[in-house]
Amino acid sequence: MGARILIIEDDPASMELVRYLLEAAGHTTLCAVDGGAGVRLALDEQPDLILCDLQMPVMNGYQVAQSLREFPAWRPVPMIAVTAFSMPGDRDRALAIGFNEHISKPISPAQFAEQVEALLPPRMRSAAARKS
Amino acid sequence: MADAFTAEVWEHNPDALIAYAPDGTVLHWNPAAELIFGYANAEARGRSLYDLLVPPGEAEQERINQASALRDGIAVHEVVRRRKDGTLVHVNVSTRPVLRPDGQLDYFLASKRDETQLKIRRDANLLQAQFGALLESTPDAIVIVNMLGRIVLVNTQAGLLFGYPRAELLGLTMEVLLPERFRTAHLQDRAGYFGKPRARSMGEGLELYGLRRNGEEFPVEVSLSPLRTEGGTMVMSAIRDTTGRRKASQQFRDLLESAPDAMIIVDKHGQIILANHQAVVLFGWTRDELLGTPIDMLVPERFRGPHHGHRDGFFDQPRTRVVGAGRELYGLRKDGSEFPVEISLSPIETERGRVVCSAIRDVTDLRHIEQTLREKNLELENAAIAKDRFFAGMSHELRTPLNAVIGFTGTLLMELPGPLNTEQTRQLHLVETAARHLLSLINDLLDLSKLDADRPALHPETFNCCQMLKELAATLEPQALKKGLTLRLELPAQPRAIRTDRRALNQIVINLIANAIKFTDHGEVTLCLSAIERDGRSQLEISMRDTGPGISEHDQTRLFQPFAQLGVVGLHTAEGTGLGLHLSRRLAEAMGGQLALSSAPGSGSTFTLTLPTG
Repeated sequence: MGARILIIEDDPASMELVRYLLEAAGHTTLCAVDGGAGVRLALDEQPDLILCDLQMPVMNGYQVAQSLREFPAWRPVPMIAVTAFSMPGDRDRALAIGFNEHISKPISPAQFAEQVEALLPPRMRSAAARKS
Repeated sequence: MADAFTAEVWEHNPDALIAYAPDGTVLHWNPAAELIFGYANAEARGRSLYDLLVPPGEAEQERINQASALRDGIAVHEVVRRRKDGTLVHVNVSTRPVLRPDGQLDYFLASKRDETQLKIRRDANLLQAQFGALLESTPDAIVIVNMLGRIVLVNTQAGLLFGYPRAELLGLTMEVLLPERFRTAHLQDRAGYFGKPRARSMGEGLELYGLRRNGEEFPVEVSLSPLRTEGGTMVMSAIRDTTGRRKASQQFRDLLESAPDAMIIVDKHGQIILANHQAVVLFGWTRDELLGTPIDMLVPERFRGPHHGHRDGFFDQPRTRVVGAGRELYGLRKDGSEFPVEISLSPIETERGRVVCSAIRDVTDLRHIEQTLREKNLELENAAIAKDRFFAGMSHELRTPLNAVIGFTGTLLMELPGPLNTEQTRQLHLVETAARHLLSLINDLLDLSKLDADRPALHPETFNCCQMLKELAATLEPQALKKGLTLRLELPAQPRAIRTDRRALNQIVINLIANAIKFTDHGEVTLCLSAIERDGRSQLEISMRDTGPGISEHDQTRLFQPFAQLGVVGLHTAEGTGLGLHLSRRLAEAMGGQLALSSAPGSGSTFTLTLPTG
């Protein structure tokens, strides 16, 4: 069975692409278009994994990660930064603040689901991923 | 004196014959007296002997001589008398009182013989015998004059200094050695000196000059000392030519005047003893106002206390140094305004003790320029930061739509929404290729902007270069195989450590391998690594050799220019951004290495990257 994945992303096209790829891989998605809404949704819905853009209105990705990591219950939940920031150091900064992974935009559609699932327990991975 | 003979004797007597009243009034004055003393008979008659002939200080002696003549009937003395022109003559005088019939003194008759030359010869002989040898051995020029002011001894040095044969100077007055314009004053001074002789020096601080026989003047310093001898008191002058010293001192002054900075010399009490023109201009005080004034006058009041301490400290441990650099130091003008200064101090040892020369520079403009520079730098820094932000922002903004383009092209090609026909697939691949090309361009432009900022953010780390090349080759091998090419690796067996920016090296090597594969249709591409020594430094050489068409010499020159993709025959699908080689070379240079090409049409190309190992 798939995972429940929260996507926090303010760019509608990126949001749709990620949703589409993850749902195609058999996962359920929850969507928030800014950091504040994302944090609220995370606390309400308890997703299995969070994908988060870094540059967003209201509350950016770093602040989202910081807020959530303050709750002990949230420490084990995997968080992935998906961002168009690609300057050297961006990845290290994201990992340092509490993200488990950093995927830069543009994403590789063929590998994306696999990259995300690497952070999920095997039972939540899609059939294709489980096979490989 | 009634008969003619008597009159004739009076007239032609070779000695001066003078008849004078008991009070000294001249009654008769013969032609020889006119000759010796310079006054005509008419001029002398009726005037007092004392006024005419007796030098000051000699009057008393004269009266004593007259008394002894009156007592003894005749008296003979040697005396000094003054001529009309002020020069002194040595006179042998016989005085006889002439009495009236009643036995009272009527007048004195004096017969005076000028023995000046005789006296000079006597004195000269005396001095020569007594001091001649001694004075030859002193370095100074020595001239001794007798009471008459006549030169009676000249040592060799003096003869040389003034350009006279020594014998010629003997008997002349001292004044011949002085320029005309000083003579009268000197004569008076000399008379004064004989009045109260003591050793002293002349000329220090005075403009005193000597005159050579050839008319040339030269600055001198003179020490005078009285010399008491059997022939009376004489004066010894030790004369030193100060031309050299004055020249040096003048040069020093000229130097000070020509210095671009204000120069002020102060003594250890802080009194200004010298100031150049620039100092006058800078501080607004006249030179006269500055000289002898405490230097404090030029220092704003609030700095004066500390300044004393600094000054005393400097005199204790003097060395040339600059004060005020990096510290706010101010000068005070006459009008009360202040200005920032920089000062260099140098100690100077002089005859008057240690003094300090300060070179003072008004740094108002400099401070202004510094301020402007600081502002400009800040502006530039801000501009650089703004530029970085701009590129980072641009990259972010371009990547976001590309994410959708590449992403949905991907989902379509993965046939997630549904199956595609062949043409749709082909066209979508074209979209994907174009989108990836656009992404490469964005990446390369971003890299280039960082290099253009001239602050490439390199992060050196040490790693095994062999290992890295193996990994990169493995990544790109599929592309080679796809074109039917062999990707060969020639690596040393041992690990090769290098300390450099891993990401930059990666980028260059990927670019070289990808280019080699891209432009080679048959054969093989070979990646080599070897260690070399160049300029005494150990370096690594990474070369990429291909069996492609090769590059003409003309094209080689512009190959590393941005967007310089060459129209290679048979290769219409030149992928890549056109920035790769340009960027690679720039990166190589930023890493302290270089990227070179050797190629010829028909025989392939070899790109060689040379990097220092650490």
